[in-house]
Amino acid sequence: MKINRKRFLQGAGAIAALPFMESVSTAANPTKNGEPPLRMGIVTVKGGTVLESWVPKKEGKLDKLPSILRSLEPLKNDMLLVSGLSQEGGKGNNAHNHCANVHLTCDPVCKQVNGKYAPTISVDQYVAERIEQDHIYQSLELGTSNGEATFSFKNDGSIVPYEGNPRLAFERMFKGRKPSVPNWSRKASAVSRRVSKTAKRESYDSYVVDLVMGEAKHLRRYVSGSDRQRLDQYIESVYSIEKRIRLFEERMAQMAQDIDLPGAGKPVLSEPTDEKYAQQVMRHWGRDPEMHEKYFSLFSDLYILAFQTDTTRVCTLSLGSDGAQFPGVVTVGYETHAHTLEHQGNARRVEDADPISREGCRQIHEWYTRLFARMALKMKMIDEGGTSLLDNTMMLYTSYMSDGGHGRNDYPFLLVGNAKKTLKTGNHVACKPNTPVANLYIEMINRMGVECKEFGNSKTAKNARHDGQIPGLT
Amino acid sequence: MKTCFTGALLICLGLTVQAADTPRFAAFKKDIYPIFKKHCNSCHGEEKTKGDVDLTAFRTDRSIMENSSDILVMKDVLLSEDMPPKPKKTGFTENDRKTLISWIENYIEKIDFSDPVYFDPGPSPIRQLTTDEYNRTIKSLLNLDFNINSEAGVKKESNVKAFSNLAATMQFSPLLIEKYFMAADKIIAKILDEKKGLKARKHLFDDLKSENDTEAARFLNGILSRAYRRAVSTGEVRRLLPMYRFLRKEGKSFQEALVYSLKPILVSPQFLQRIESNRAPRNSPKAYVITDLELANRLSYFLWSTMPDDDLFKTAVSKKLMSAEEITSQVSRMLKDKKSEALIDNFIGEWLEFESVSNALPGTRNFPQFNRDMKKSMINETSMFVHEIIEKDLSVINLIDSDFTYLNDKLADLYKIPGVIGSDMRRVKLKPEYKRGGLLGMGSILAMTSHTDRTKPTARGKWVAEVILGTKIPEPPANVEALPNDKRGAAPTSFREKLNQHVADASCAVCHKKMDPLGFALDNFNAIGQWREREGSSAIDATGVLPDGTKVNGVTELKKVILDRQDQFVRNMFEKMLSYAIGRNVEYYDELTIRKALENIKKADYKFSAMVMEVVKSRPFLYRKNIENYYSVQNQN
Repeated sequence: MKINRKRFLQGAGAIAALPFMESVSTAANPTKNGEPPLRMGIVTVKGGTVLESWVPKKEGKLDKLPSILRSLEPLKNDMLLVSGLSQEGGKGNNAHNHCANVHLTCDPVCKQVNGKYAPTISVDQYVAERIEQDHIYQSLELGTSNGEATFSFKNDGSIVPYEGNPRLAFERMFKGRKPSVPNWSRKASAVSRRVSKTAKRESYDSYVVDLVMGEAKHLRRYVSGSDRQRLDQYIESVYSIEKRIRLFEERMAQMAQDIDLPGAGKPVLSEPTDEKYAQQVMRHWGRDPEMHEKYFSLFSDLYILAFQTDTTRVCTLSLGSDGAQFPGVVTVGYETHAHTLEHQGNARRVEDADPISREGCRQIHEWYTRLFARMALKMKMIDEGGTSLLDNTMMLYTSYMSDGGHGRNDYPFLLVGNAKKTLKTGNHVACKPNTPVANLYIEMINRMGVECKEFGNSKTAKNARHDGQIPGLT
Repeated sequence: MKTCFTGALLICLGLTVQAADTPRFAAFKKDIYPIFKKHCNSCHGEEKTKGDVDLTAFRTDRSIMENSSDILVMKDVLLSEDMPPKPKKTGFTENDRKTLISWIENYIEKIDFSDPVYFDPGPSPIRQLTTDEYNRTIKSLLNLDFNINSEAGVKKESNVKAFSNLAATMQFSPLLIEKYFMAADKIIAKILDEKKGLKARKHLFDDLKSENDTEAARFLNGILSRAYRRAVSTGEVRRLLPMYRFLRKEGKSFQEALVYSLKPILVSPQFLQRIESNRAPRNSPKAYVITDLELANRLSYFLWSTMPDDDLFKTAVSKKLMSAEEITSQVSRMLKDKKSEALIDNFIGEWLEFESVSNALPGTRNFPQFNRDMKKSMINETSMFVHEIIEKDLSVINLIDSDFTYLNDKLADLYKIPGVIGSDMRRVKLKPEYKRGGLLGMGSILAMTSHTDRTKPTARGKWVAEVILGTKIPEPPANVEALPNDKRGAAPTSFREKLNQHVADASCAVCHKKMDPLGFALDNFNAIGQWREREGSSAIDATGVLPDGTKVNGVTELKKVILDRQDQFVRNMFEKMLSYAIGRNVEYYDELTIRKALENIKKADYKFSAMVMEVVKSRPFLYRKNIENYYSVQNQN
């Protein structure tokens, strides 16, 4: 059976507005001039932060960094700290769910459909759906995001799950190929040479996809309501698999060349993690900080690799857990359970909080930031032919709560990498208190070459201002 | 002129609605609604919906019944005088309180069961296999051990507040579908693996007679019919043949080609979902009895979490399943089968929130005995205990109090029970002075509701209230913060005093009064379930007062209090089991089903099998109705 895309789209009314049909911006499509593309990365850790040890006292040029950020000293000129951004409270949501639901979406309502949260689209998915699709995965979501803390959502409010198994993440990314670094300048000419798309080849994979697609579309005619919605999700998912198979087939020759004549820099990983090791790390990281650190570094390598090999250009990495324990990282008091420390270490007024627990929270975030700094440094070391991977990435480091007490005011936001010289790094931009977080996301979306005037509550928030922009970023 | 007309129309409409009021709704509007409006609605409906309670939703007789769980909560908070929080300020009188309480009692007691809504089986949406059902189905279908959670990294469904098999909570995401593709590849590789696939290949190919296309079609027909759990048409099989031929052309052997042909079947929406067909006429709202095959699937996934076996499948195909005797005999056969352990793993496990035991917060740093072996023994204690209730068909009341449990030496040592030697788990007869017996004396339950170094009375109380008694406790409000130091008086000296601040704060009190006393009654058990009389220098205070004024002191009295409310416990367990079996939440229109079932379960001395039988003979289990615009999906080709 042949899949006729046009007919398929007419039939699938509910999903007719598939992202790939929208006008694709080419502003951030540098593959044509032989430069590496700009990537967008988000690294988010759990539990908020301890603000007085995170925000520098002064605006403007970064001076001595506060204690949590100190490990980023070597990257001081590559980073831009944005403070004063807030989310708005919602109604009738559990506190953790609420913080998670607004984190990357800035959803003004957070409605529930059939007892499930259905937030608006998250910034990572928004960008992923709209940039040029020349990479194998539209986006990758890695690490731990589940239960009460899910961050990425599609347009229809459905959750985008995160891959929490480092070995399987590698298998997914490199099924049937070896990690190879694209030779960007040659790629530019290859792109121009690729005039028409290759005809569909007869293959096992395409038989499988055609068979199940035909079946799903047949079934779809007979079901309604949520059942039909689920089949639409199925069809859309299989469609993205099909698209990937075709893209992969098209790129086979190119990738073979990349292996013979690779671009600058070696892939940071070439083999998947040993299965036993991965299992061990996954089993123990919640209780054992040493394993937690290994888990972090396994995933940060995969994250770097995904960008380096152009497997994706939008990647979100979520790490940590409010339920984790930190013996050895927390060296004050006797409590090492993050969630307890977060609650006891926060209060409406900081002076009402338990100072020992607050110090514990500070130690945890200093530790997380150290791991993040290590990862960002690695990216700075990776040469992409004159520029570093970090230069070609816009990376956001943040948390889904502003503090451990489910705070939604004054989030920690750190942009690392100058996003192809479109960010004035080395600075601290202090926004007017309670400026919507959505403004920052719009700035990021625009830098990815995607036009966007409104995101989440950027226009509807009580404190909507600056026309959805953040003055002073450039 | 136009406005006038609209106004008149609205009045007309208003009158029509009023004319349709049932007498008891008219009485509600006259006597009850004014009290709501004056004292309750400003927090529960008009501006806010605190505690998720919206009283303005009471617009018809039926809508009140739809919210009947809210009404029951309302009765509790009225009795405990927690609501309204400031009666004097709004002039809420004792008379108002009495009026409301007697209205609630009347409303819930005197339901008009002749209303056809109480014969509604409810919706039967398509049910997606859970990851556990997937694993077990692969085992039944291919005789292959495969774990999609660890081998393809699909997360186990979260079962917070609901069973993981509820239809409404399942969805297909691109990652999940990709994982199903990955799982299918791995399953195929495993079958073709010389050693790992030996049993599977034997199971699949033992009765192959020859190696030609006709035989391939016969093979695919068999596997497709079992995978889709129904009879399939020749057209459906024919669709698979071009791929099979392609694989042969590519040089795959006969058996290899057949194994690779499994992929589209294993990622098909008809394998990954349990689809039931609608009956003509398609727009009829009438309920009808499900088919024998649908019943076989419902039974099998309820009791075994997997597809029907040959016996069940054949009985259903020959249309002999749909009779009281056959159902009874199949159910008792199925409960005896080893596969019914799925019922403990999934239904009991998720109901008791048992997964939390392995993530219990106490660790060896504070409790050296609480190591991995100990946790395992505790988990085994509970599952072997439940296993005996099912196997010997005992009363479910044993879950509350019982004179036996399962122990090994280490666990018995922890419980201070003498005479248990050796590390094997075995049945142990309990004496009252051991203070054990039933779930509430088990280390598993006590440890999973504790903190790293201390007990959490609120968490324990919440567990008893929600899991055992089925009381609805809403989420804490989003602006909740750590317990403040009491600014008016001295700082609290004990954890109990600190927790009591909840009860002093009106917005916390409503729920904490329901949870904390139940938890304090268990405080003689420390964070890993050891018995203690003192904590540090002070004696344990296990006293508390329940919202209705009942005093309770210690675990023995707590169990008595629960046994006094036995019906509430049994009702809760039955509702949970029904919800698990039919894949949706229990709704107000299931009330008649529930009441009839509870009578029969009581008559059968609360035997476990009696509860199962009431589920499988219930209206929502045996009936279904058409979903709008939806008819037979089996007309394919």
